[in-house]
Formats: sequence, C-alpha cells, structure tokens
Amino acid sequence: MSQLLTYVLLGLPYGCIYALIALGLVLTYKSSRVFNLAFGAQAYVSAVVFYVAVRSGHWPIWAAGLVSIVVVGPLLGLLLDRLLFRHIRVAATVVKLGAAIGLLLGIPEITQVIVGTQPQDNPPSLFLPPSWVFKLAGTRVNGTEVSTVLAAAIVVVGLWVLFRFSTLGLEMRAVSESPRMVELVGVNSGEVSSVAWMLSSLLAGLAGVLLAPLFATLDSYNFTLLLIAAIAAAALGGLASFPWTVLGAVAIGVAQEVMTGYLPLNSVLASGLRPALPFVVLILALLFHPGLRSSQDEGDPLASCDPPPLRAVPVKAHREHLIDLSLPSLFTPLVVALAIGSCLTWVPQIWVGVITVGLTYATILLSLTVLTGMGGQISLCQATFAGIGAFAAGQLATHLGLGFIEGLAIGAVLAGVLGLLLALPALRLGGLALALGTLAFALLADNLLFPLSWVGNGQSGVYVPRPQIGPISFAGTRSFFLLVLAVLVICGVAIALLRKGTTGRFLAAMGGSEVAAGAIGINVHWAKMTAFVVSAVIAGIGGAMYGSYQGAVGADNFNTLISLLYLVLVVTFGVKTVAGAVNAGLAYAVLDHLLASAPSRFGGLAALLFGMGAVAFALHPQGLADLFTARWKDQLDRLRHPWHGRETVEVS
Amino acid sequence: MALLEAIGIAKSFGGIHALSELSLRVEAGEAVGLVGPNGAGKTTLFNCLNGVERPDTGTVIFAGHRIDGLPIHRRARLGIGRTFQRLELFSGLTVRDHLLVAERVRRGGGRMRVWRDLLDMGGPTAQEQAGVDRTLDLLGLVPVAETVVDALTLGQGRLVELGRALAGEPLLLMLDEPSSGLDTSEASELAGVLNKVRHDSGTAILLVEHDMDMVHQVVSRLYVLDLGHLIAEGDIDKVLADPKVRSAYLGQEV
Repeated sequence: MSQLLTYVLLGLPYGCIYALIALGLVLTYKSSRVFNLAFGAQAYVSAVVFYVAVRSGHWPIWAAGLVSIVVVGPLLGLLLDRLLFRHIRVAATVVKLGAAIGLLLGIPEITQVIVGTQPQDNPPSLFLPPSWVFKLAGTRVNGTEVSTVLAAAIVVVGLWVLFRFSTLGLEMRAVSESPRMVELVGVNSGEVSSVAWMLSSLLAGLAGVLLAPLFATLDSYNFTLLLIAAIAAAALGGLASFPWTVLGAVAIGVAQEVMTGYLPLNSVLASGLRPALPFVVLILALLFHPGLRSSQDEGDPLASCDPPPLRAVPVKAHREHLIDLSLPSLFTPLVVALAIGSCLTWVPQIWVGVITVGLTYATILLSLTVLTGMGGQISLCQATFAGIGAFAAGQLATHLGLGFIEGLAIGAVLAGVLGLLLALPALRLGGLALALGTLAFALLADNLLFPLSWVGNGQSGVYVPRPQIGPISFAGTRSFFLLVLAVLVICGVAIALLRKGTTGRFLAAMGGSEVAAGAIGINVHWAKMTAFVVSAVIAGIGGAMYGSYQGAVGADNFNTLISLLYLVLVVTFGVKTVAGAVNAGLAYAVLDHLLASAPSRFGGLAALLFGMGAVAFALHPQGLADLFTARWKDQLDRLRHPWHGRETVEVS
Repeated sequence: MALLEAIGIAKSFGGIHALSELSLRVEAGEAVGLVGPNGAGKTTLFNCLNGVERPDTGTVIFAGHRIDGLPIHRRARLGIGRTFQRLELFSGLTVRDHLLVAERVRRGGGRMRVWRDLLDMGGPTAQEQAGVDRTLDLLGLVPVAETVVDALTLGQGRLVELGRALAGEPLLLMLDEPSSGLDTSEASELAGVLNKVRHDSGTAILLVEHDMDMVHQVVSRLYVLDLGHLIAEGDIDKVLADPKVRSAYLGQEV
C-alpha cells in the first residue's frame, strides 16, 4: 500500500504540470479555435530563460521566475496571437496545424541560436530545492515535488475563481461560444482572446519552469513529450471541459509512475509502454469521446458573418498538367533536361548526393500530396510509413538475402497495410481529431515498434543495400540518382493520373465536404481508406529509397518530429501539386546540406526556416511557391502583353 | 406505391425532441412542400431521410427498399439527391468539376477504380462533358463554369448544389431552402427550372422553403411542421387556409 502511495506521490507533480499545459490548450482552443501545439516549445523557452538568468546571470530566483514566467511567457503568447493566430481563426485545419507545428519546430531552434547548444545541466528549482526532503506517510517527498503540486493547485483554483466569478472569465466563456455575438453586445472579442492567449502562455511558462528540475538536463524533447501528455489530457476533457482536463492530466501522470513501479523491469512493456501511455490515452479518447468526433466545425451561430475561411488552394482554377513544375511551359523540359544531364556528368558527386536525397524526400512528400492535397486528410505519421518501407527493405535484405527491389515492393505493401490498419479506426475522425490520432500513432510507433530488433533496431539501425536490377548495379552515385529520379517520376505520374481520374475527383469531393460527397453517392469511408493506403505505399517507397541512399537508417530517421517536418515542408511549398512536393524535398535537402557545416547552434536552422515558412504559409495559404509563381507569371504576362491593362488579364 | 414513405420518424438530441413520430409520403413525380418556422425540424427530417443522421425510431421506404439502415451514399445511389441549407460545396473545385464528380458517380456506380485511373482511363468522357454542359445550360451556370466555387455568390452556390444533385439523375430531389440568397426574379426563375426538371424527367421534389410564392409555383401538396410535430398536410390551398397553420407559421395577416 505504501509502495503504491509512493508511486502516486511521484506521479502527482508530473500530472500537475501536464494539467497546466492542458488547461492552456483547452483555453486557447475554446477562445480562438486554434490547437496550439507550440505550448511545449513555449514552456521550453521560459525554462531556458529561467535557467540562463539563474545560472549565467546569477539573478535571484524570484526575479528570474518573474521574468521567465510572468513576462516572457505572456509576451510570447501575445505576440503569437497578434501576429499569427488571430488571423487564422477561420482558416482550414491544415493551415492552423501547419502554423502551430512550424512554431513547435521553430521556437526551440530560435532559442538555441540565441543561447547556444551547450548542455544546460542541473536546472534550478523555482521554489524549494530537491535537496529539501521530508517524509509523508512513510514516503520521501522532496521540495521540488511539493512546490510543483502546490503551485499547480493554486493556479487551478485561481483559474476556477476567474472563470466562475469575474467579468473577464464570463467574457472568455462567451467568446468561446461566439466571438461575433460577444462583439454585438459591445465586448472587444479580440482583446478577450488576447488575454486568453497570455494567460495560457503564462501557464505554459510556469509548467516549463516547474518541469525543468525534474530532469537532469534541459532538453526540448522532454517538452515535446510534455505537450503530448497535455494533449491527451485535453482530449479526455473533450477539448472543452476544464475539470475533466485537470483530472485527466493528473491521472496520466500518476498512472505513468504506477506503471513504472509495477511493470517488470527491462521489458518492452516497461521501456516502451510507460512513455507511450499518453499516446494510448490520446487514441482511446479520440475514438471514444463522443464530443471529440463531431467537435470540428460546429460553433459560432454567426459564423457566416466572418470572411470566408482561408483555404489551402488558390482561388484561381488550378488545372494541373501531368507534371507541372510551375515554370513557364517552354522552359520546363529544357531546364529539367539540363539539370538531369548535369547531374549525370559534371556536377560533383557530393551535390549529386544532396539532390538524390532531395528527390527521395520529394517521393515521401508526394504521399502528403495524395492524402492532404487531394483528400483533405491530415496525417502526422508519414515518416512512420516511410520508416516501415526502409526497415522492411533493409531487414529483408539482411536476413533473407532479398534484393532491394523485392524488399522495396514488400515494404511498400507493408506500409500500405499499416495505412489501412490506421485508416480503419480513423474513419470516424476528421480534421483536428484525425491529425492528433495520427500523431499519437506515430509516437506509438516511435516507442513500441521502431525499437524492436526486427523492425527499426533502435539506435543501432538497419543496413539498407543499394539496388541491383539484373546485371545493372545502382551502387554508384550517378546511377542511383537516375533510379531515384525514375521512381519519383513514376510516383508523380501515378498521382497525376489519379488526380485526373475518378479517384482524384472523389477524393477532392471528400476533402471539400464529406457530407455532400456522401449525398451524391460517394462512399466516403472507402475513399478515405484508399487515400491512406495509396499515401502509405508512396511513403513506403520513398522511405526505402531514402534508406538505400543513406545505407543505414535507424528510428531517428523516421521519428515523429520528422513526420511533423514533412507536413510543414509540403504545406510551405504547396500541398496541392506534385511540383510543391518536389520543390520542398529539394529545398530541404540543399538547405540541410549547406547548414551541416555551420556552427552547431545553427544546425537546426533548416527546421527553423521551414517552420517559419509554414507560419508564413498560414497567412498566404496557397503555398509560397505557388504564390511567387503566380506573381512571376503575372509579371511575364505583362511583359508579353504590355498593351493589356491590368483589368483585362483574365482570371481563368 | 409511394416513392418515399417515412413512417413514425422520431429523433431527439439530448433531451430535445427534434422530430416526434412523424410520417410523410411522396409519390413518384410529385412535388411536395415542407414548411414550418425555423427550428421546426425540417432539416433534421431531411437528414434522417437521406442518411446524414439516423432516426431514433421509424421506417423509411424508398422505391421499394427499406433504407433507414443504409449509409448515406447507398441512399444516394438509390436515387435520393439533396441540397443543403448551409452550403456544402467541394471547396477548391470549379463548378464544372462539381458536376463532373456527380456525373462520374452516377455512370460509374460510385466505384473508385484506382487501376483504371493509373492506366489513364479516368479522364472525363465526352458523354460526361455533354451531360455537364446540359446541366450548366439548364441552370444558367455557363459563365461561371470554370470558376472555383469559393468565389461564387450564395445564390450561385445554391444553383451549383442543385446542379450537382441533378447530375445524379435522382428519383427524388430534396431541396433545403434553395431560394435563400436569391432575389425574387432569380427565385422565380429557379421555380421554373424545378418545374421543367419535374416535367421532363419525372423527378419527385420535396421542397423546404420559406418563400411562399416559390412554394406555390412548385408544389401541389404541403406538409406543415412545428416543433417536431406535423400539424397539417394536404392540398396546398386548403392547408394554407387552416387557422392552425396560420397561427403557427404564417401569422394572421397573410
């Protein structure tokens, strides 16, 4: 009994910290319809500011706490609200998520650029130090744990009082129902929602500073995991109920520690299931919480007063040719042929390698062109599918002596099967719920699937051979480049054909409106499954090609952060077109290569740039590449037809 | 036998009875109106009939099939087409694309056919294009055929929804406030189109509408719904003269 109590007491502080972030998630989701995945990153920022102020600046603890939690936290929230989130309130879910993920990836990188990457060991405690220990019911409890629980409890009670008894609380509750209605009775709903953002960012900052001393080193990854646990708690509360969110958070924190205590040591269950618990809870909550499935777009009775939502498509009719490289049509074949010819002859091997890697990324990203671009479904687990393809190809070659091509085919099929298995429970989900479900699935694969020796083989990784077709070996850099190019072209053409045909039309209809697609006779479940399977197969193929280029790949090459990066990449470059995926893959590979030689604090700059790209995209949702091409085309048109007035340039 | 026969449909949300035990019948080729104040349950009834929602109790029989257990797309393929009060357009697609999707569903029986697409046999056929052109012409949508629907006015959007439903060549067309967003002359034009469709293809029409002029132009029989109950049904002029209907819906002064 006292043993159980020990674990419960150990889990409480974690649960309380989860609760702080989860409350922030629910608060901002209710008041601005944005699910802010960046709270983990915001918590990290406050923790770093606190650390630097105390350890490097030798500030007194109270001053550092005040600045990091009460100043930096809300200020960041206010900035994000004013500059970004309030402008995308009614945007498509993929736009909002892309922006939030951009911040999730970008904010830790900015922080590292500023403070450097030296390890930040032994983070200080805000209140009582961990060395201060006393006994509670026969269990040792340290000061950090006690102060964490107390601080969280005070905040929760404070929030309850605020919402229950103050005018501001009443206004916030009203804004979460209908900002337009609130404006009609004379309340500035923008200001109220800014307050909600500042308040929830303050909670995130507090959570960050409280969480830091529970770990030996400040590591942004711990804050990402913190975020996931908070998401699970928010899902338990149906993204709406504050009390259930707090209870859920505490329960998750406690359950994790209890599991650590009672599960057999050194088993996959102990090493994998404990960290995976929040993801399992998240999946179950998404599937079985009645409020979540239908929670996407109900809401404001005055919604029609808002301007039409920003869409991830241009308002111009977008007729894609088989392969539209978004360049003037005469140019395209010439430039592409020149580039390919150069890669096969005089371009240095190292750059051919970079371009090859870019093309494998592009192949993987095409999977999102199908799923998100054509079908309107958001997946945050494409790297998992890619990983299955790569690992299958590698494992089959290593253990069964199969050739790469056979392994690639089997890997692609396995990825497709996994896609189907994921699609079946996901059929009922849409929008944000689907995105969160795939996120949990990716994290589950990271923790339970990829560490297995017969899958990803954990940190040691899997050896993946270069292909050999009959007598022809593709081991050389240039020949492999050609093969990767061929695979990309095949996938690209396949997608263009699907888009042109029945599949593309049905998927587009489903992405536009599931109800209406059903009402004209389209089996939406079937369409969704098809999209997931095709997408997973393409990701699997791309993953295998990527693995073959790298020679050896491990779980780190295909983890959840990579999945998030994929979404941000295609979202930035245009999720609708094959060209968007190709541009995104190449750009990321080139930038990553150029930054590899930069000082370590700039190592994550590629992620930062694309993160910011996604944020910029949120404000220009046709995709930056498409936007610039459109402008360029306009310029060209004007040069060609200078006598045409601007008005007569037809939109068609 | 009636084309559509709904018997004892009930639906509640939480504790609210949106529909209580109501029955409704539409004969083949007949135009029937469904009116009532806002919140009477008209859209909920539509949703229960075409499968967006499942009724709690009740039976729906359509063209000889019992359909209340069928998913929405199966009901559509049996010949129920509908439009939505709050527009449900396929965002990002052009007007022509909307009609092409519906044409393809009808001609292909709704099958996806990934392999045919991969063999480049999935593009729009000449018959499909001709069918689309006819619908565009019928509804006067030719000038906006290549426009993405997000850029259309509300009224044009309603016409696109109507066209999309018509492209499925339904036996029964359920229209949910098709004239809202149209001006009087456009509404009257729309009534003409509906009458023409019914006359030419024998499509039955179930019309939810507040514009009583339009209801008069299109339907011959009327159901009046109030708070989930059917309060009157029958020949349109008799129903509209009913004092109960006048107090519940039309007001005394009409």
